[in-house]
Amino acid sequence: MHSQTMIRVGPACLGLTLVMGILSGCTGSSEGNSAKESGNGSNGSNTKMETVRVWTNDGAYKPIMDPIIEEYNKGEGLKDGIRIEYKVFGSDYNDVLKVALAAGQAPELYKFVGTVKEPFISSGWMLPIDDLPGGPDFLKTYKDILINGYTTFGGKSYSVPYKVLSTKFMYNKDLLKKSGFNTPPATWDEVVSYAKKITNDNKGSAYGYGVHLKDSASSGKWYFASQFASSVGHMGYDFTKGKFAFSDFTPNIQKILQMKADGSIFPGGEGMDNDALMAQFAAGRIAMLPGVNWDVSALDKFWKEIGTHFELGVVDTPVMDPAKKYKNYAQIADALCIGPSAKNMPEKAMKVYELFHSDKVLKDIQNNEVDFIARQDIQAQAPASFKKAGTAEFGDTSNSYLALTPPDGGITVEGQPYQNTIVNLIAGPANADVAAVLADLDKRYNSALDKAVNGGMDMSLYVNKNWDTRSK
Amino acid sequence: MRSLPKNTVKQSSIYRQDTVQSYLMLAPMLIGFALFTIYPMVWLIRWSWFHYDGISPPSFAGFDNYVRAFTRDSHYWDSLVNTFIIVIAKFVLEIPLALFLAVVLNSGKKINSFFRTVFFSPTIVSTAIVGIVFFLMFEPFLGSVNQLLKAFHLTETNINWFGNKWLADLVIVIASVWKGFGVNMIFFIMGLQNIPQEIYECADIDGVNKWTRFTKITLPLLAPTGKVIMMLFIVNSIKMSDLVLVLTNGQPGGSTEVVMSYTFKYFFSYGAADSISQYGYSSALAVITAIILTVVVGLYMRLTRNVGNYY
Repeated sequence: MHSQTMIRVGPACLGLTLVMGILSGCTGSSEGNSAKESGNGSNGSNTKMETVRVWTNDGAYKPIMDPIIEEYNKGEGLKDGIRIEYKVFGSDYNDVLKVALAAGQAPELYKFVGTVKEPFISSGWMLPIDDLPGGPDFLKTYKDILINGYTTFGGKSYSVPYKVLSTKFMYNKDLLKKSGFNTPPATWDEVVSYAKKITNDNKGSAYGYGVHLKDSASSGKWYFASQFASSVGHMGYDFTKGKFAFSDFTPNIQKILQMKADGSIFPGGEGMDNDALMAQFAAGRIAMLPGVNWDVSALDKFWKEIGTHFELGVVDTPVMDPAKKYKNYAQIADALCIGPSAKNMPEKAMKVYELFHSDKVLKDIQNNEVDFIARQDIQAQAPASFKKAGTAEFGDTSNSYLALTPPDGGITVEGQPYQNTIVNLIAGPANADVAAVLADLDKRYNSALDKAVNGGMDMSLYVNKNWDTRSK
Repeated sequence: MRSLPKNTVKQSSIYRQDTVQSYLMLAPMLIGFALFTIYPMVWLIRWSWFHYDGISPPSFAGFDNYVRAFTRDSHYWDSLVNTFIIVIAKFVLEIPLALFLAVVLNSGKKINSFFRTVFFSPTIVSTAIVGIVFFLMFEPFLGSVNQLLKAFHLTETNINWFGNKWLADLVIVIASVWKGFGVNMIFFIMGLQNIPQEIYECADIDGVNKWTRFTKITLPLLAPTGKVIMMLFIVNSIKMSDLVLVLTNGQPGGSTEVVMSYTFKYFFSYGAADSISQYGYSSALAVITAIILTVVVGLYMRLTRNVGNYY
């Protein structure tokens, strides 16, 4: 009898233990947090050690930042009571960040991905630098280059310009010369004819033009819309009218579809991302393609990996009509914003923010040709010559306009975003009705914009009657 | 009042104890199920009635998300049609292949054990790796498939496998079948091993040939297992998204998008930093897809309700 009872009680206890285990597991996570906090101990002096977390997806900066952070954590950080925890995330960074912010688990400093910060600011997910100790002094360095609607809202700055992203047109001089072209194309008609001849001359071993369509979000913005700006004066949003005007891209897209019909585009772009296409360009199989300044490092990397090399040409993006030329698209980007958890340690968060924006860090990034720094006083300290092909040409922004922030990041659009729509047009059939698709795109974006304006969106940030990007 | 016999009281007490024990034993699983399955489902249904981007406060949308899906979003329905095309193509290839291999490899021979392991191994390969490997195989410029076709003079020019919907869908189906047939083969083998050997022995005595054995004994007795395998196959195939995201990401022209990858892209920005997540709308799409999946599975269960009732 006793053993029978034990047999029944045993599993019951086991079940109860499991339930308790699960419940205690739930509380375990909060214990984990407090354990992390208790890790912020003392440094031997009276200064309280605290961890300032920094999240980003700028993997390219890691080799520069890691030794600087290590040195700081072992030296200055001990005096300041700061330990920097620097994390570089992958492609899911944007979603990871949003979930962390919504759950109140976001770091003290983080990189904001995107252009429109208003929803983050109104949700309290960003703190103004002006309100942090030492913030106003820090901002003095940037007072001439702060961008209303991107770094600054309502007179307060939430980030500072860090780097410049510039767009140009890249070509393989060797392939062009082989087909008898000694100058790069200046118009899209020339691009089409160059591409056709180069493709025919190389009989399948090289193609005239290259596109990548798999990463539609990045490709649609940076390798199509932005590249059309030199032909139409904007990359989809007309600041003078305060309206979306993707229809202006119609002739540009038709030229690319023409190259597709001619068989002049490197095959398989539908399954390639930018890295895959750059590898083929580095291997000398593609003659021409649009480029963004980050491609300089990618090309250099692939040349080293593949062991190939050719003479690279980088010029202004071709235009539709030489009589109506506009500047190339360029964009200022920031690197870090201040998260809401910085309220708990404002001095320390600001100190780390300043470290990440220090002259030494900026010069290291620029002089190692990792990125193109926005501050002109740092630009002036650039080396006289560059190791990577294309750095000098992409760095010359004399014929580029620094774009204002368009409102698309703050509106909810029905259907496919413009990036996907453009990419789908190019990946789709060559006889697609481009004008009709782009007219529908305009309609969807402008309806969403009207809805946002009715909901209280401040359009003063997105209308500029004096907006002029013409190339003189 | 007549008292219950002592034996009945004792049995009733044991029954009660058993019941309590059963619930306690089930509790961990039920709590997990409620927390991680039921609770998110309730939230998903709730969000489908709101406009919500994960940042700004949600606003009640009523039926708007559903109206938008049914009246203004033809891409969703295109992706649903493409899903069914892929599921049917996969079904036609994968299930017969898995069944054939299961029948061939259903014995205790050591060599069969080796082949079972070999054929099962694709199942344990990560979907991302499968996507990359198949992309490289079918890569139009230097991919091994094109090189092979050219070597055998089956084509003179490179085929752009990702350049049109049907070819790209074909690559998705081939990659998906390669990854999936192994596990179905194992399920079929398990079903085959549950068929009593005495029936085959009786058939041998009666001089039944192999084909008749297969069609009159194996298939009918395997039917209950096959019914479950096919139901799981349909559900899992309709839910497919990872392979499409890695292999084609919906290209060319969004034509290889499947219903889950399409819905996924409204939930997560997936690289489009400038666009806002639409949790409310994507929740509505997920609810509609779940209803369609329920209808398909319900229909399947109804059509196959008599399958396997051979006793």
